[in-house]
Amino acid sequence: MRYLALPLLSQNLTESTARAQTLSLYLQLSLQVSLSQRNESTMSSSSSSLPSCPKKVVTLKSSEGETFEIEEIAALQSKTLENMIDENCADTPIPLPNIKGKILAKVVEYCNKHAEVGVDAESLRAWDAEFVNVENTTVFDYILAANFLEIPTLLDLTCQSVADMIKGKTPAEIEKTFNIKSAFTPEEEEQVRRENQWAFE
Amino acid sequence: MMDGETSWVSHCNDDTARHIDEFELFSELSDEGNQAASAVSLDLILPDDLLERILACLPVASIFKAGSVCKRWHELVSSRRFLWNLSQVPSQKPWYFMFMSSDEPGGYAYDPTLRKWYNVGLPCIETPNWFKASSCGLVSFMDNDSRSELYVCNPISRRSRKLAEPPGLKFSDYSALAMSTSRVSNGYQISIVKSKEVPGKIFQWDISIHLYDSETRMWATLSTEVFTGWRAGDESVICDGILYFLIYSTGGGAPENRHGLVPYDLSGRSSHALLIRNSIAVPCPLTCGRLMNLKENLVMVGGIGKQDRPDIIKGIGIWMLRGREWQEIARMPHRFFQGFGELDDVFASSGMDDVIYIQSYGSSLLLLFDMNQKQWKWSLKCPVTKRFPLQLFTGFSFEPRLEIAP
Repeated sequence: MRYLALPLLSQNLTESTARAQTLSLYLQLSLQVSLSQRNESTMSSSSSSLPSCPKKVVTLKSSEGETFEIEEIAALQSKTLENMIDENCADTPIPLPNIKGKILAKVVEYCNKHAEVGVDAESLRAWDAEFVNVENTTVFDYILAANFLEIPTLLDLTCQSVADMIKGKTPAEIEKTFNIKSAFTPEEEEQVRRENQWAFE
Repeated sequence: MMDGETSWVSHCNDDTARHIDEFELFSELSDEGNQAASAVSLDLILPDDLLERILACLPVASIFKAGSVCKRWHELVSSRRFLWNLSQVPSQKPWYFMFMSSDEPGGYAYDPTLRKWYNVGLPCIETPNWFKASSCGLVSFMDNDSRSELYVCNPISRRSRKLAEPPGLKFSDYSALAMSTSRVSNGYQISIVKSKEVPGKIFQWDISIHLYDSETRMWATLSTEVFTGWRAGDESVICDGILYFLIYSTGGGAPENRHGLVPYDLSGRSSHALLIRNSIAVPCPLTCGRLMNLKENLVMVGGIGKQDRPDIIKGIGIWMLRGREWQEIARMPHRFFQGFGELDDVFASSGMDDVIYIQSYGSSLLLLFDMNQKQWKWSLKCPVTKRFPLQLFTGFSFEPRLEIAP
């Protein structure tokens, strides 16, 4: 706690100077108060292992402003959220302006499921398979959300599921599925094919 | 850490704006509930690093197809960063290459992931009877005449390198070739076990072990020993730094005791005791044995001989070596054994990772055994057909890896 340098108030000071000095004092004082409040709150959060503390919850805000709560333990699967929790930035709702509510709700569901204890590998695999059994466009949304929030398991799951969409398709079929606009001309494609002809038969 | 990866903060700054733009555009269209919201090009939604991550999950043939879709995808799969991505992907299921004839090196490679046969051309090899060994996407070929021409290649990228001539006896009677590649450093070791009958001395064989290291690009002769009543053949494999090779009785021993296994620690830490004293007996009388490395475990596929006539095959078994003991993994069910038609007492078998391939020399039928699920399965019918009665079919397995260079 720094000591405030108290200016000597002498009768020779003009009124405006006195006002300025008082204002400066006030500002310094309020800064000190908020600093000590911050220290107190830091101390109290590090003692969250006490049984009397409530379960920590993180609030996420979607692009449309909808809020979603997720338990801290489930949120730790996201490296992004884990960093924020570590740096004490997770006490207020975290805005995620590039994730829609519909998608955020599902991502929260995924994290909750994967934070559960006692789920056997087989049924988790089946649950994951169902999770990505959605429209192409939704899977893409999941990929972007998982990438932004840095959730490695969800990113692997969703990338593999898009790879499965591509696997076994001909270049023409891939073009159609992804609606590629700037596809190769037949001549360009032929040139690329010739490099590894066997893969196209 | 991928050099493309940034901390979440800078990622946020770089891509958020772009994501927001694309998302807004995208969500407007999809909110219309219009199925032809695929009027939006889906791949434009993904930044390069995410698209690369997806493409790296694909089997090799699909990667080439993806590369022929459009300029962006072609550039992505050709980039060095993509090849780095590939090296992070766990091993793909091994392919099996089957030769079309006994004179020409042409043939087809079977991809069990996509269930397809590809007409791949193999670099370097001149005839199917060359020696072959494979590890982590690299294949080494050695000629079968002078046994002095040795190449290492990647059958997918077709890059190859000729190695220095192996030392030791030229024109040995038998040679066994084995290879081990490090996934970490991409360095490799190649071993040759040579056997030559000592002139004038019956039942005596000169056995020598030579090792090539890609780091030093040099050969070293690790061991020379004379075996009495036993010789090595052409079956050997390296698992977890230990070279294993099969030895064959050359007479004077019991008829049931025709095979043995010799382990040799390539790091040179083993004692100076005679190799033959360290040999391990096979689990039962075999008509033939094939050695392979399955996730650094030594696995042997063996033809099981009849009790009274050990040179006649009655079944095929799979064993894994644990220490110095064999653990039986599986026996080929009768219906598959019969499915081969007439199975000679010798057959071709090769495998790695979790897959074992078994093939009869007399036909192009190919059987797979999945070590994980303990399941037997026929491959898709091979395009190679038998054109004349005495045509022989051989093959070998290798892991398809686009990125590894010899």
